[in-house]
Amino acid sequence: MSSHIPLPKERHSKSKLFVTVSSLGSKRREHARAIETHPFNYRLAVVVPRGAADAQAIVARHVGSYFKIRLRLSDLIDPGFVGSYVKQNTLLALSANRLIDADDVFAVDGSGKLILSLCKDTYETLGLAGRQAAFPLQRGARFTVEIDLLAGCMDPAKKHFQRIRARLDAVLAEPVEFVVGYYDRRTGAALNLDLPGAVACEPRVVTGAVAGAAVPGISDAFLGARRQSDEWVGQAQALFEWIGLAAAGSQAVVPALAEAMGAETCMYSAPEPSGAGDLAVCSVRGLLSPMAISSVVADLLEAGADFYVCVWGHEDAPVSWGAAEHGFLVSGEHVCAQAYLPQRGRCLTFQACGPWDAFS
Amino acid sequence: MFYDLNIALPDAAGKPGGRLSSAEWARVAQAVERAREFGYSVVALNQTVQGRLTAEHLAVWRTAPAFKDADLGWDAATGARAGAGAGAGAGAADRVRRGRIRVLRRVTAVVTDAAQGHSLASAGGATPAAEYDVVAVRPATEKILAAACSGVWDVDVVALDMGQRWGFVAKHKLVGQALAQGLALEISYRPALADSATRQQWVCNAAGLVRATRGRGLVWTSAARQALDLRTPYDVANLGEALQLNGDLSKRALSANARAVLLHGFTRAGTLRAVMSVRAPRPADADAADGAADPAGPAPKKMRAD
Repeated sequence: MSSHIPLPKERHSKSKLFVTVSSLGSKRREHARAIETHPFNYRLAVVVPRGAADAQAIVARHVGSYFKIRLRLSDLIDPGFVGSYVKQNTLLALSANRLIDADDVFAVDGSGKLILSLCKDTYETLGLAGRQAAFPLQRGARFTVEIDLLAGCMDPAKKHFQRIRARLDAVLAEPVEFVVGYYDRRTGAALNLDLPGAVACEPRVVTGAVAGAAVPGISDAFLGARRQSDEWVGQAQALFEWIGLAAAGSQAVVPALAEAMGAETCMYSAPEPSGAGDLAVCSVRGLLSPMAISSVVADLLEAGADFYVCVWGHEDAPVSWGAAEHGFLVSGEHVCAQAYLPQRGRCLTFQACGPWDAFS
Repeated sequence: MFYDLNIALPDAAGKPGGRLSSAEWARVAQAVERAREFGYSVVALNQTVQGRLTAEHLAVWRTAPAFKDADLGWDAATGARAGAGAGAGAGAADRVRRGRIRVLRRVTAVVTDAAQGHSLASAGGATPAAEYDVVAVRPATEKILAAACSGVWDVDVVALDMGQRWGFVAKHKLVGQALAQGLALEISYRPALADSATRQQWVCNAAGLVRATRGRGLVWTSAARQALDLRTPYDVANLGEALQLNGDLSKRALSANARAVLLHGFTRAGTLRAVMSVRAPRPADADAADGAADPAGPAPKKMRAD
């Protein structure tokens, strides 16, 4: 039920919520692509019925360590570095503590592409060819330079490479703090980054439980709807809201607590119809690779029970889904929430973008 | 980068030869520190002057202490603009080092008589106004507003009092003149945090200004007298929604438009009729030039074999 018609540029100034109902056996794998095409994730939360699966063990098994390291940009294009890390396996890197709307932001997106999202002044001084960024809407306020590290022209003997290195050394010579993830290309397992100054960080796994929660029932009529009605949209938004609350471990989804507050107090109520259930919530923070999240989902699917997944993207990442340009107006959210229903072979995917995100 | 071009100094700073006590400076330092925490990269301390601006008004800057993690835009000992000479102040719009904040000087002249406005002329750097990074004018009447918008005075910002009833309407034609001259119009949000009557007046004034400018050429400032009056850049951008100012224009009023004000200020004070600017050589350049004349300095390009 998603809209695959690209939105005009000015329409991206509003927040968007894309909803997709897909079949788990479908060749299009829309539910899997929502995770695989989103490189920069900083938080994952899994909500499962208590006792259905050991979510903590599954998450801990697949989510590996990442690194913090100060690197110069010319180090990232160094043939030795590219040959050892970018060509061999999957390298994700994102400059830390830099704002996408106020600073220069640098990233390596996992497919061997170095993305420089630059302010006007830096771009004009740098002198490398790029394109005007879509955001902010003000013309010429920001520019994006993309360097394909795996291209044949990135050879130290070639002028193209020499020019890039000379400009990076001249203008962006200061070391930048990066958050780096290095993963096996086939299995997605975290690998060791053997570079001087690299500090290994372990993602923090936190578990919680919500007893007596109201778990919304997703009807077949809702999943099989051919057209968007106002009622369908309302139900989808209510379900997205519930997944967000459950993933945060909020007690608002427990109806008994709402009743205890009394009728005078305005409280959240779960979408109807709903059934009572005990939920286990497991969340993890850090730089999370898309492959690790996919592996977690695959293991949970084997358990056979319905479960919910919520993935938050880095607010200051230069790209969101499918390398779509990502910006920050007053919020930089790009969140993916999914409801997996393995017994019915369906998955409901919500992709929420804040304003100034080109994904559509 | 986000800018707040108005952190208000106490009223005593606006008197000729005025001084601030250490407690008052501490309150200002606290506001600057809070602005840095909130993500602002550049702030301007605002000295409000009634009427004519004189050299004696500059005395207060010599009493300023050093602020934590801040780079002052003036020499604290002499009160002169940092890097004095032609071209000084161009760095006001440059990038700021991470974790630090740049503190600049601003003067706002409350003008009740058109003759007072001429004291704001910078005249290529020889007047008191040239010592300030930002010069703003607060017109008391529509006639003064028309004079300010026409560009006859050397000012960067037209700063109407947002918490008071103006007694006139900001017309698009008049405001358009100011925008054509490269002047910015200021909306300070401190009155929006005051009592309900002031808030009501603020909404009326600010919405009128947004309507008249179509959202272009506006600058958001705090006019904060203490740290508690400050809000984060994104909160301020959101506040624009109340004035029917869209998010993009609202954010521009905190960043690109404010930067344009600083560049306008540099052009006003650091160039001669905005045609020519001469930047004094940096010490490193001077050393290099000296080294070239020194026989023991640079190595010869060709060494003799014997």
